[in-house]
Amino acid sequence: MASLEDNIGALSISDKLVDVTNHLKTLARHLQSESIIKAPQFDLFEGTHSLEINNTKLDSSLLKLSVDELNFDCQTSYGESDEEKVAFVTAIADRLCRSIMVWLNDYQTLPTTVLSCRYVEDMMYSFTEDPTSDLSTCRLKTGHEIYDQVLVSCILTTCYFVKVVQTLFKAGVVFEEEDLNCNTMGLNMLSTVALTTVTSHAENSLKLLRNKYPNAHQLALILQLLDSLARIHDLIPVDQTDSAADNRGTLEVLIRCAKQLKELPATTIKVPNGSFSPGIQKRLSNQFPPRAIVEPRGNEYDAFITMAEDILKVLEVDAANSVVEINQFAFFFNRSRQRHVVARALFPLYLMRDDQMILDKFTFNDFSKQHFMEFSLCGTQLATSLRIQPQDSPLVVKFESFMQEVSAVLFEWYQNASQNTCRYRQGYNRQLLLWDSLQAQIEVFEMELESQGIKDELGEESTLLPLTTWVYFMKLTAMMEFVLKGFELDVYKPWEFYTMYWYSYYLAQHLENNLQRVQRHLEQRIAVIQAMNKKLKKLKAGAKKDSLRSSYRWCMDHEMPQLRSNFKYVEYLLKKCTLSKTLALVEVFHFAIIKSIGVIDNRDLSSSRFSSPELVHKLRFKTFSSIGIPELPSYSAFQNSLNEFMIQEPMFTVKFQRSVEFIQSELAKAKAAVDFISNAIRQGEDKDHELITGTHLVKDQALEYYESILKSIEALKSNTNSLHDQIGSKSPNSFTSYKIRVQTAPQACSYYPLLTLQKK
Amino acid sequence: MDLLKLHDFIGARVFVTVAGNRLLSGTLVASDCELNLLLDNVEETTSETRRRLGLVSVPENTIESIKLHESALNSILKRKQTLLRDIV
Amino acid sequence: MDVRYRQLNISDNNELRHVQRLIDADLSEPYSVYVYRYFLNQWPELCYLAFKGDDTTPIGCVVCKSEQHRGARLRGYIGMLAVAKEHRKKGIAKRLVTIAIEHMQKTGCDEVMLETEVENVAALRLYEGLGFIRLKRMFRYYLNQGDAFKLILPLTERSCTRSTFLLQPETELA
Repeated sequence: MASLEDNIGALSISDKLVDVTNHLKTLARHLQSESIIKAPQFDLFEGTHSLEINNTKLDSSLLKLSVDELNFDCQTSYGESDEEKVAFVTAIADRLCRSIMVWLNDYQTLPTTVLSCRYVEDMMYSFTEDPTSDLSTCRLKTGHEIYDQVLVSCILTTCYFVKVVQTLFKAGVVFEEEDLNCNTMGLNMLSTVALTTVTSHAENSLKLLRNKYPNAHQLALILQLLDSLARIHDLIPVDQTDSAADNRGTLEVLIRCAKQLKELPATTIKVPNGSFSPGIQKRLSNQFPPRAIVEPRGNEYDAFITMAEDILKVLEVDAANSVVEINQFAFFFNRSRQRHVVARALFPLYLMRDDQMILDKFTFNDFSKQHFMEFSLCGTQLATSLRIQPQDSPLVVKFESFMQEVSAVLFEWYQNASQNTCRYRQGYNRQLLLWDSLQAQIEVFEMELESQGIKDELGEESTLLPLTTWVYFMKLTAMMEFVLKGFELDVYKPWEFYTMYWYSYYLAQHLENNLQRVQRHLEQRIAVIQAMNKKLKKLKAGAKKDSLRSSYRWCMDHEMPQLRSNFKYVEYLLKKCTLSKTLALVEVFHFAIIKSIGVIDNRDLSSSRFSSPELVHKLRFKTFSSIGIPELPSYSAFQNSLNEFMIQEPMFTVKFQRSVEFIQSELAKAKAAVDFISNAIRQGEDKDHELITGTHLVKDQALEYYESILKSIEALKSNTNSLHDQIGSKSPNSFTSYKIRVQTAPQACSYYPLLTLQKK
Repeated sequence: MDLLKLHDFIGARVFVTVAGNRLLSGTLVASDCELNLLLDNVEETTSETRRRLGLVSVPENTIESIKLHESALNSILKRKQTLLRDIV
Repeated sequence: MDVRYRQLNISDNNELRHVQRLIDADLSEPYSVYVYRYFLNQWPELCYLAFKGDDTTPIGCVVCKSEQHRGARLRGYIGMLAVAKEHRKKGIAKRLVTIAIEHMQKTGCDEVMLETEVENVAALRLYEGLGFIRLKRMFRYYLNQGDAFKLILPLTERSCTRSTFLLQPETELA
């Protein structure tokens, strides 16, 4: 009590305090109930985020600490014998180490995990007060080396790793609160300390353990693991870093230690009572509600392995041979399973560096240009013009400025690839506007070029527009991802399935047309070059022949390989597109069949009270409402389209039979396409295959994805059979006692849930 | 002091003692009719610690006393008097 | 059971405490008194209470607001909804929400929005039964780690156009 008075005294210095309690109470009593007294510029909304005194959910001062927690002393070496001290420190290090994964994997906060360790709090508090990079005040003084040297190493490496995660987090790729909580309670996590300072401290500790405590095997392993965690710092490409091979070594050590640690029997010795405590939340400045500390669950060393493997996966992108491979890497690496948050945060930073380089291989602009070259630009008039015109010509200047805009959108596309599942869908929602406006602008540019004669005919009345074509391809793909991801996220109710799948089908058709146009261009160009050779053979020796021969050679050396691989890549994209189209179509058929027997409707009449099915439909398509092409079909077009798929009397049974047969034949074709693609993925870079998938760096992930598509095909097939058996030759009016249920077959692709028919 | 309305205290640094021997000092940003206070940039002082809590709602039933520095109160008063004189 | 519904009377201080009691019993999210002040004092007309017969203690409440959203449309928002445990499954929640939406519609709202936990089947059934659809899913939205859905009920065409395009000045033809 006395000390509180002292504190108050210190606050008020010489100025006297005047009690206004009663005055304010009287004033408040005269206020009208509805009035809030506040400064005009203060938004009461901010007030909704306030803490609250004496509210157990919002007042960290109310946290109750045990006697052990209150009396815990970081400067005491707990344990009687050396042996017992080693056991205690091992237990503390083990819990601390596990806390890191509880923090990252269970989306916990630092104060409830790593910072709940009293030694971390104590040392980082000292460091924050006196941030000297030699760590002179940031230490323990128990008088025993196993604490003062070894435990200190564990704390330093742990905190250094927290700093590494903070750095990744600050780059703004993943989201605070959502993916990661990085609140360090105002503690400075060794910001001024170099990695070598921390790692050499750890080396000394490891030496000490080897020489004097040969039995402290587990402790040495934990410290080694923590040391390799800190070294993850070197993977962030801030400046010119060491070779990637060394970095990989760090992660391999991490995996090896974690594998050994998870096999060790649980220690019987517990951490000293009070060494882990929620107390930091009431001792330090804290703008967050109190939370209980989180105990490790036991799977933490497995989690370390997953994290390290996921980071290793990110580093593999280094080995990409083409932009298509980088692109496919991004598409697949986070697809079947959401990667570890640290790997997700690292990927875009590792790929797209601060110095505006992609993997130290391309500038942003070249990277963008290469996306076009490996698709539709190679072998076009525009490509030729860009090659022969001077760097400062209006054409090249304008093209480069477009590449800058493309880079900005691609940057978002790549960043989006490593977002969490929910953000991933929203990312496309945002991107669509960018792709759409880019398409509009670039089309104007290309029309202008065509008027100057820079154009590639695609047969009657049609031209390629290589830039627009690629942007449109990206836009359509983004639109389809946005729509289909909604199924995985359970965003659509069954009555919406028809609309969403029919729209996917519609988009896939446009995508197919677009890809076929590219295919036609590639075939034509390849044919033109081959024709040059024939022509050469017919020509007599002379200047004309020489000139033709040199252009032929140039084309064979510089264009042909790219044209051929573009052809095989587009062939792959076409196969993939056909799969999306077929699966969407089958879903459409299933819906139509079930609607034909009156068990489902594509309009939800419950909206009629305040809204209408049409308005709800329009809200669902808000994302696409502004897209110019492909044109968004009208509400009635959606409604009418369903009629075409429905089965009506007379001859219901015969027509139903025909529908079923059609579905089965489509699914059989789809299965063949998957087999073909999977085969191409397995063969990898084998030049002889008809497809190039660009997936050799993400082979397993790509195979897993197509395996899930195969499972979906099988599931759709067996659902078709079930519908066939259930409906058979019954009258379409006899299903009043049925309802639908949405099911997802095990390991099937989450984009294609099943509408199944069930007895009520 | 009778001149002063609740409005005049908004923006002032106030010292509020609350149940459990805690002193909060912070800027008064809002009050409702029950004198539930909303304080910003709050610093909490107890016999053990002194720390920052940010934006804090202080329900009326937890408040033991509300105090202001004499100098702060005087300057609020002076401002109010000037204001009133100008109106007249 | 005879249930009466009426707007909150903001002049009566006890009503805030009733709302507080009903909500706190139900929600895991921590709310300070200023959360209630934010809603009740600014939009008292969008807070409704349900009473059993002539009781003076409410058994249910809905707390809402309505505001311009990105300067593009008037958005009603359902902030909190609670019915005392012993009075659930009697349609009280649905009635409360309906009354609130009716008021929003009358006062020109273009849409009504709310967030709810993915696991909250009862809430989803209630709102979807009124025509709300799930516009997006939000990762780990709640303190208890769960994902949330953002639900919207469109009341006018303005709800169905991206706000970016609602903000563009009307182009006039000369």
